[in-house]
Amino acid sequence: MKTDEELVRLCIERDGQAWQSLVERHQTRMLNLAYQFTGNRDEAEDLAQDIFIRLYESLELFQSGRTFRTWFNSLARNLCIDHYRRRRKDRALVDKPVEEFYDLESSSEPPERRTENRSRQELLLKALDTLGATSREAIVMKDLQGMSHEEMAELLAIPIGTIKSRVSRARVELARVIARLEKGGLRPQVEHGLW
Amino acid sequence: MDCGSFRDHLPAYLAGEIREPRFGEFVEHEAMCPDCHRFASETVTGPLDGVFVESPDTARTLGSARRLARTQAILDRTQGDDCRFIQLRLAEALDEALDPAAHQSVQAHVPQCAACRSVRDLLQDLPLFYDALPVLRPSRAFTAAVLDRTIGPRPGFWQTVRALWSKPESIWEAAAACALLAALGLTGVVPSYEVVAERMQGLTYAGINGVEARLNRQTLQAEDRLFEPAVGVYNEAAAAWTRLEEWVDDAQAWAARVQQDVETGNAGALYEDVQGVLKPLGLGADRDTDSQPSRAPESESGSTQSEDPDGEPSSKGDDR
Repeated sequence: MKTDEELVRLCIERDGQAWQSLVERHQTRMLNLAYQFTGNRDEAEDLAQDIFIRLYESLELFQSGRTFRTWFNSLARNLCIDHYRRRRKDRALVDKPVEEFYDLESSSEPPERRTENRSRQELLLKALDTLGATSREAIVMKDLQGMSHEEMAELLAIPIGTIKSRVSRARVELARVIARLEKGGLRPQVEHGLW
Repeated sequence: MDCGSFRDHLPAYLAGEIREPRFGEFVEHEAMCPDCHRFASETVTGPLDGVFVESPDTARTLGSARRLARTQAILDRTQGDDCRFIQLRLAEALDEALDPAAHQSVQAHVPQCAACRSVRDLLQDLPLFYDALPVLRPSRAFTAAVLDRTIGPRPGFWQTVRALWSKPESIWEAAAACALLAALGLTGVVPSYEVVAERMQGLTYAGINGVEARLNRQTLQAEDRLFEPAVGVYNEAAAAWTRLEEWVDDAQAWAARVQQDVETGNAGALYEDVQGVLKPLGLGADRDTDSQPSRAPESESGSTQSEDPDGEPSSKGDDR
């Protein structure tokens, strides 16, 4: 199986099959990354498509010797952040029945478990929507995408200590918002994140 | 944040007057910059020793108390028992173990603070919330959309075959597919070529006939719409012509009656005929006995006239 870097080299030479392979290899991750930033499936698909289009247009800028995954994550992150900041005020929360989103595995869960998961999903998406762009990015990259502190530091070009601090603050902020939502059932006050 | 900004706003920071999220930037900078941390500590107090010494002098006591409070504020901010600090340590603990001092602070504070216990529990439950998020799977339409918007039309059939043929596993897949098709064909599950061709031909003819019928219908409808105004005009003209013909017939009949009246000398009938034309035009004379002409004798044509005692002539047998 070809590596990402080899596929990129073939894509630059206009190999359509290589591009299709690259898309299929990363589309699930990008779609879920977009969904974790938007909380809406339709919006996530549009954003994910935009990410791949930006990637296609930027392939020739990829420098050999770098790690494609890190470079691609940086590109995707920039688009997600821009989209989040641009759409934050107008973004609707999840407006489709949550059952539509369940994959095959979750559909076999007992009903009470599914109800509990649905409640947690709604709380989490509402809470994430109140976070600032940087806080949400910290949560998405560290806790949802599973990146390490070192990967995030390399991606964002900031010290690891700052990354750790941002992640910790974002988690505390997220926990507080969830607690407020659970307690009062009120629309949470927008508590800005780090900035 | 740079050191200059940190030191410019140091008094407000040390007084606890800066709110989140800006406060977090100051804390981060102080934690990462030893120089600024030392500068902040030395700016407020001298050495910590002596701050806690009580003085009998009131002013000195008040000064010491203020210094004590500010020192405590610094300690709370970076090393102390402030809930905010404790909760940050709790969040850090999700990734790695805390250093002994921080661990001790947390262990001492959390059992006595309901708010921090709540945050601790929620932080520990965060993975459950994360697991509740669905894992989206891209559809074929998504992949196709990406490819269409980037490389345009999908590779052609022969390109795809060539690409597949280059994969060694595709040879076995192709062989298995051919074997399956042959088996289906031999067992009759897959219809023969002749049957398929016949069905296709039938469908084609039916399709052509259907299209032809639809075209004819549409043509007729279009013609109707095209000629509808002309038909309307023609109908109006025909109605007008009919009315004209009727009028001509009436005029001819009247002329014939008048001629007969003249020939027979039936002045009364002639008068009536003329009045019949003039009255609708508002030109007819009023009827009175003096103005009535005398009745002509019965003509040989057979028309009879009888005189009404009131002078109203009447005629019988005319062809009115």
